[in-house]
Parts: sequence; structure tokens; C-alpha cells
Amino acid sequence: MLLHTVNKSAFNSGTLGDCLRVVAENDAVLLFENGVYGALDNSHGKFSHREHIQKLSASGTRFYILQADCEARGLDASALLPIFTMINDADFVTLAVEASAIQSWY
Amino acid sequence: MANYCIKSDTMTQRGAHEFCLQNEGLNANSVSCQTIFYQNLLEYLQLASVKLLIKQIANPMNFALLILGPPYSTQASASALRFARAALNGGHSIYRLFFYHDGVHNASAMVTTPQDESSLPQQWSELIEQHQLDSVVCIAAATRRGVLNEQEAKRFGKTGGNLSPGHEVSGLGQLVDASLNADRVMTFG
Amino acid sequence: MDKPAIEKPEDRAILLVFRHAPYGNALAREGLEAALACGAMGATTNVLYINEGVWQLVEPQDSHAIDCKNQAAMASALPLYGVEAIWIDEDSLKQRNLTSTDINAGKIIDRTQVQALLATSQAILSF
Repeated sequence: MLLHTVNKSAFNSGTLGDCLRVVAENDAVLLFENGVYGALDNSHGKFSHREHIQKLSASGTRFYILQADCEARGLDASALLPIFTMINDADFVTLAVEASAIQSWY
Repeated sequence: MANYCIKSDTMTQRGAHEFCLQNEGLNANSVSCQTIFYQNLLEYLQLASVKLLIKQIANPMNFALLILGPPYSTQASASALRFARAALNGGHSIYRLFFYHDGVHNASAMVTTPQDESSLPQQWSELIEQHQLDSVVCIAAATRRGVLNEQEAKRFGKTGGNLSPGHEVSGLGQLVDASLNADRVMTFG
Repeated sequence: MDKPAIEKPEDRAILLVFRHAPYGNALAREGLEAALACGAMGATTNVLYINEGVWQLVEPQDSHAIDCKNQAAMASALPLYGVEAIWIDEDSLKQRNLTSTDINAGKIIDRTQVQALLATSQAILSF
């Protein structure tokens, strides 16, 4: 299992899309910093990766989002795709421990 | 009773000592501090009258952190700092911090922040001191960006060094070594 | 100074992922310098050019007027430092209307091979 971290907003960067294109079934994806905007449920148009995320999730990819970065930006859990699990810093460490390696997309 | 995780094989008494002082408010003079390992730690903690439940974590790991982001301008350095703290609090250890690219500015002692804001370079130095971390600043990247230790400053005829306490300047070989020997490598860019 | 000898676990491979275009940002150059260091120290090293990183390999480049070292020329030094495993993401080339004739080095691999490369690397340095 690989851990992918994404810290750029999906609304002004292709970073999340670049990441999702090579994510594998058993991998985990963590959105943090400005990356958390990529987890918004009701995003539309070219910025939305909702369908891709849902498809990957259905095939086993796990999606996480960092709580401190959500809170800082006023993103409520209810506004996010339910696929995302809200985690804290300790959980981030645990994910990195479980992963075989970490690819940082920034 | 407090629950703490203490990593068994690498956490020295010094680390445990500071940890206890911080969390239990002990007097620093109440216990002697020598370098001993886990076998004696239990006894030490009893001596120090600290009520601790020592839990050996299942999978302690050594992390190497590659920090590429500068302080203040982006969040990368702050994220790396939080990750480092969380890893250490979770009983893991840090094999090495490697500051590279714009990340070298985190080792600048010239960074000065308003009183109501925290200074990332200062926090890094404190974390390094507190946990006796190995922190390397890439010499080529740092020199280009004006972060020099006393020796380098003298060598290049500059007025004075500005490297924050706790860091050493060295080459990319230290990044290669960390990549080969740490259990996990994390990039913060 | 660098410590002269490093311990090198046998099965350990370092992967450097280059995702940024050259010149506009020092990431490309400093990432490459890290790759050269890996090679110089005898580490088993893979380099992956993906996304904007593929621009680093486009030839010809003439960076004289912007006062930068030629990134493609620097990259061509990788094999001299023992880094032979240079991979280029096929989709990233296609998205940018690039073909193998535009680039100066490396082997083009598809998405599945990129996934395999990531999955088999124990240490990833992302630039």
C-alpha cells in the first residue's frame, strides 16, 4: 500500500488529478493543506474529481482528509464526500507507518 | 493515571527524563540523568515517582523528513513540524531531518516574527534540541539562499553565520543515507 | 562534509519523482542534483519523469539567456553517475503532444508500469 499525499487545491492545480491517475486499488490518499478542497462533495465541472474518487473508492482505495486543515479552512464534514475519513496528525503518522512508501504530490 | 507511549529500544533515559519533566512537572534535580536504556527505565520511572503506564508500541519506525518548503510562505514546513511531533509523540523516532530547496530557510536564525506569531525556525530548533534530532541542511542549497554557518560565512567572506541552533550543514549524501536507512521517507513540499 | 561510507541495505531502491518543469522553479535542478548524489553514492536509483517533469527532458534547450544551467544536459549526466533506470510517463508526454523524438533520454512506460514502480520503491523523494 502506497500513501499519496496531496496539498494543492483541485480548483487551481492539476495535482489531485495527476495523483488519482496513478493511484492503485490498495493505496491510500490523504488530502491536506489546500488539498482538502478536493474533498468537497458538491463541486462541479472540470474541477470536480468526485466520480473518479468514487470509482477508486469502490475498487478499494482509501481516502483521508486532515482534520486540522479542514477546521482551519472552515470545511465542515457535512460538506465533504462521505468517502473521506477525517483523521488527525497521529493517524497521519499511522498511515505512513502502514504504507510501503509515501509519494507526495505538491 | 496518564497513558504514554515510550519506544523501547531507542529512547534513552535523557529523552524519558525530559518527557517526564514536561508532562508531570517534576523537578529536574530530583533525578539523576545518565544514558541507560529501557531495562532500567521502569526502575527510573519508579524512582521518579511518575505514574506511567508504559506501552511498547507495536511497530516503532524511523522517519526521514525531506523538508522543501520555506517557513511562512507555504504550509509545508508547518505540516512537517506537526508530523514530526506526532511521530515522536507516537513513540516513533526521526532518523534525520533534511532541509533542502527553499526548506533551508527554516534553518535561518535571522527569521524574526511578530510577538503574537510563532517562529517556525525557532520551533524546529526547539524540537531538535528536545529530542536530540539529527538535522541536516543541504550546504549547496543553503549557501545559494544565504543560510551559512560560521565556518562557511568566514570562508566566503561574509559578515557572520546565520544558521539556527541544532542544524548542521552537509551534503546531499546525508539525504541519500537517510533514504537508504530510514524506515519511511516523507517529502514535504 | 559527507560521511565517506554509507550502509546500504541490499534490497533498498530510491525513487526520485520529478513532477515540475525546469527553470521556473529550482525543484527540477535540485531534484536532479539529489538523483546524481544517489548515483554517486552507489544507491540503487530510479528516476521517474511525470506530469510537468517531462518538460525537463525536451531537447533542444538553450537556457543561456536566462542564465541557468541546461537541465537536459545535466540530466544526460545521470548514466555517468550510475543512474541508468530513467523512466518517463507515457500519458504525460501524450497530454503535452510530446513523443519519444522530443526527449533525450529514458524509457517510456505506461500507467500500469508507473504504478508498479511506485509500489516497489521503499523510499520516494518527490521533487
